[in-house]
Amino acid sequence: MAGKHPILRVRNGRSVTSRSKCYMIDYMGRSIQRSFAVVLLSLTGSLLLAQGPDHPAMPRGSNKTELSRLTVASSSALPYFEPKPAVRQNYIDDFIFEKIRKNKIPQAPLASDIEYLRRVSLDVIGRLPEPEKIRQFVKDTDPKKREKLVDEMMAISTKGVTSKPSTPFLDRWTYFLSDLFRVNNLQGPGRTLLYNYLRNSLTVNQPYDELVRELLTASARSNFDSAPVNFLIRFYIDQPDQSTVNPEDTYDELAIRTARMFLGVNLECISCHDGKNHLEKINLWLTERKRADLWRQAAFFGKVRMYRPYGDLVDEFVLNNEGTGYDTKSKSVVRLPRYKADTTPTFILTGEHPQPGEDPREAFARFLTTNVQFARTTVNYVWAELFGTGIVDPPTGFDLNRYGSTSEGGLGILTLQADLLDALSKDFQDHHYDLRHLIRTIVTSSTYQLSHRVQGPWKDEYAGYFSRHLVRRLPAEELWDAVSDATGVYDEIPSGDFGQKVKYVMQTVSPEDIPGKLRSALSSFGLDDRNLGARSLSGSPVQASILLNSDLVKQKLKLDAKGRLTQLMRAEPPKTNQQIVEDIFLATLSRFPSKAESEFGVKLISETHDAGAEDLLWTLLNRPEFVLNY
Amino acid sequence: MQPSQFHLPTLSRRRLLQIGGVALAGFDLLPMARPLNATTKESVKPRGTAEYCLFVFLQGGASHVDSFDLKEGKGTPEDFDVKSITPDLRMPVGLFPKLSKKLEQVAIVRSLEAWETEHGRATYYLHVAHQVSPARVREIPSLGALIAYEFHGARKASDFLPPFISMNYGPEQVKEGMLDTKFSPLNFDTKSSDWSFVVPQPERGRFDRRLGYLKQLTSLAPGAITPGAHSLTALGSFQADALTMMNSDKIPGVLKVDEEDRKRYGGTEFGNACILARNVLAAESGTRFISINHKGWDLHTKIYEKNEKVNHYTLSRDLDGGLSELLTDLDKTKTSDGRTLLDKTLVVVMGEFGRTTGDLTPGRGRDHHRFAMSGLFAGGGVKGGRVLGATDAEGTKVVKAAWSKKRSMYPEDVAATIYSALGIDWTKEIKTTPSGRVFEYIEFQSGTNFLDVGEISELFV
Repeated sequence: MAGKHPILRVRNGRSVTSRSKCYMIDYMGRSIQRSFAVVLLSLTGSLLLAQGPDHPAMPRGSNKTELSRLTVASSSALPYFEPKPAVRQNYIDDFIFEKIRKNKIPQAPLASDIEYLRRVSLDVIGRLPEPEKIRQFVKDTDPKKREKLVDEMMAISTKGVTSKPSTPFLDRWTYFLSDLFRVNNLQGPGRTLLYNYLRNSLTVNQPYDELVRELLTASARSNFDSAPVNFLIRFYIDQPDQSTVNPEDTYDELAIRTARMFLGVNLECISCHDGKNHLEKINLWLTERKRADLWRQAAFFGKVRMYRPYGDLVDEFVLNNEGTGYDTKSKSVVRLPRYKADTTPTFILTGEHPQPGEDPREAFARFLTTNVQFARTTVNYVWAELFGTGIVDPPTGFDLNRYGSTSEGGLGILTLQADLLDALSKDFQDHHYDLRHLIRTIVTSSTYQLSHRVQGPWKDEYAGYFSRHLVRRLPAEELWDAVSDATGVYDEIPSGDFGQKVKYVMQTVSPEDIPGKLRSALSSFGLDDRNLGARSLSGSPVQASILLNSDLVKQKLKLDAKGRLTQLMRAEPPKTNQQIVEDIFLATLSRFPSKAESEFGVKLISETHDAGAEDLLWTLLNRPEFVLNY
Repeated sequence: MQPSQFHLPTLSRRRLLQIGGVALAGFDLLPMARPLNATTKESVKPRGTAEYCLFVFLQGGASHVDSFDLKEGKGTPEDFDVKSITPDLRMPVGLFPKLSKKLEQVAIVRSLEAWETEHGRATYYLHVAHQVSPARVREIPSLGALIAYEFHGARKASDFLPPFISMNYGPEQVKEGMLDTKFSPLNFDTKSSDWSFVVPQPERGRFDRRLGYLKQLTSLAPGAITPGAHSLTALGSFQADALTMMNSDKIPGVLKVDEEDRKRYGGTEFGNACILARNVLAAESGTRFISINHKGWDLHTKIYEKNEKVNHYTLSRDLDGGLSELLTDLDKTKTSDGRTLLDKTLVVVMGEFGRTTGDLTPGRGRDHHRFAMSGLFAGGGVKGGRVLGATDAEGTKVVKAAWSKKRSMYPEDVAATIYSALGIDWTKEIKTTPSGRVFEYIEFQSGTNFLDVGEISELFV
């Protein structure tokens, strides 16, 4: 009945192809104002006007406004600590403080030791600090104790160790890389191989550029027995039969994914339509790119052949270099038909081609990892992980035509802290892509150590100055691990494909590992499924109800669960009620109770004993403070 | 085997003028024009025959030719027990013994099509009625969230249930997007019965004591510089919202699966979901959209093989038990205005696409197929006992659309039908989105195809 469809395919009379609805609205050009006055429409429709040339346009899609609002909403209700003056610690502060001074932005003082310890523990090792650690850290009089703490958290000792070293730092950053690379069960058991590969890479502190080159150029007879090849395997696109790979769609996907992870640009836009006349208000660099530019980038993978030789419905793949090159005539499963175009592999940033005889993937890996944009993107991802928002945010939102430009360029200043990002990138390159060095540099800067409290009027547009620490909710995995650590009662979570059991969500290979009930609870907290979904940090009544009343939480609170409460209440020699209350506060909120709080807790425990201790622990888990990283 | 993906006729200038109206003013300047004003120019009258919608998602894509668009052939298993229900309807009674007796309430639609053949994208499309757009995926709400948003003004003080409830969805579920989190789905895993919104009766006293402690401790919290600024605005209000529900006397009754019901509905995850859906609807306490994820229909292999844990028989049996009892109970329940719950509830049952037809694949299953699928519609003003639309002899292509638009129906049309039944003008748009891109409830376009979307009014007459 095809001929009878009144469904209308539009041709504009000039160009036949290349449009998709996702950008048309922008092209129609509505409601976004340019130049100095940037109208930001909040979700409820209220208007916020940022005037004047000093403040950059808040890039669309960034979460800075959201974070700023949560910070404002929670800051005055969070515990108050005696602030310290912020003094320059390293070069990051030069860039940040200079702009704060110049633009007279309200600046926060340095966070207290207590706040810093909670924050840096969550960020660097993904866990709450243990009560003993907090006491010890507060007492330590070494002026370098914060630096010392960071080094301790990142260190891996092999001395006298008979099994493979496992540290929270490795858990947390392997999880980070697995998230970035979207490790999941599309790789079958290969996901576990890749996970371990990434973990080993972090253990030996392998330079990040080297790791990426290995992942991009790997081949193997089976992804079930070779680890690095699973990186590329993950992104196969099938024909509708779900048993054969569609090569060109897969090449496109690989080009899009690698550009997102390693270059901070979203080529997905130009996978269906040219950038011109679509992206003028989104990304000027992309307006100069065409669909064929994506195909030429994808053509670096054109020699890749992925197929299922061991059963067409088993996701065990061969990946070799027997591909026949990028063919624009091939039919697409997920996109519009391609037009005829030259598809010589061409690096989208520089126009470079492989040398004669050079393997195109080797060439791409070389072009990529020697380009400064690779370092910038990586630094920016790590920054976003530590601050809750990137310098460029979202981290896939680089506009390379306007990057670093301080002129308006028709869309407002793009990147307020481009100079800082470049300095960090250079440092990252100079230290041979050492992720530990990068993390250490950031978390020991005064900028990172600022309190969330500022004096003076605050505007959401200031968020990009990083002049106060932005408060955020713990992501699902961190939150659950915090509940486990606070109560001292752990789950037994199967992890990976080789029968391993782990205690922390952050130790799982991918979200499929998490058992159904817990997974369902965590998805309410915005767990990223590493597929179409994305991590969410917004709140909801469901989240509140889980902490208030889910069996998952309640079973960890019982004294007979043999966790922290059992140790405290049955300690020999017995602890005083005051000590017990202090421990429960330290284990949950990572701070000492105030005098009034302590008295409240002591009274509760002396009156109702074990039940009182359970109630106190429950109460603290349900204080909004518990779910915040501040 | 597969028809060309782009078999649609070209838009004529004349037709574009008809649709496009004043949007055409700048047409020659723009390489791309779309009928942005069509939505406002075209006046639609939402039907408003339903107050609630229950959406049953046959996840994975149910095989239409083995169920509601049965194509008998030499491969059809004996025990499908195919019988004529009416002269133009043959049903595999062996698979759907109970539902086959309820068809006077159900309209079977056989002229549905999907736009996508990949699960993630097709599932997204069905639940959102928009194509996956990487630029907008974070802000576009799902149907349920948008319905919740639309009904927000109609919420009564006594409404203690959230507007959007879903069952058995995972992290991939599309939620509220740019809308307020109060429109986010409350998702239940009906395999278990640990629903954190229900405080078990024996624990009630202690729970209330604990709430008292929480309140006291909050007032003692250090650091509040401004008096009264103790509660963290946003996070505190989520807790308050949760407690409204948890403190309702009615909630234990609503979130309860009693043993007799459980058996009657099949004793399955899906059956339990149907019981909860019934309870929630019967409570009439603020829930407008319920979405049940019936998982497992993606049978690429061994589709008819009964020794497989999940196969076409088990899935059909689960659906048959849950859905038929649900229809029975909704039909039995009279509400305060004299109508039955079924009168007030539009029930829609479908998957994200159909499956390949004819002989089974070498893996003895069926693959994804987007050019034909079937859906069930009941209640909410739908006139049952009918079959709309027809496919060719194999079930591969739609040959008779059986509705005024004279084409196959797509997820957009289904969404428009749901909106219309609920009294929502589906041509509305939200202009103030985070990305600056206008969000239209229904887009009159998919990919390069302009689509004259409309409700499937034939269902209601």
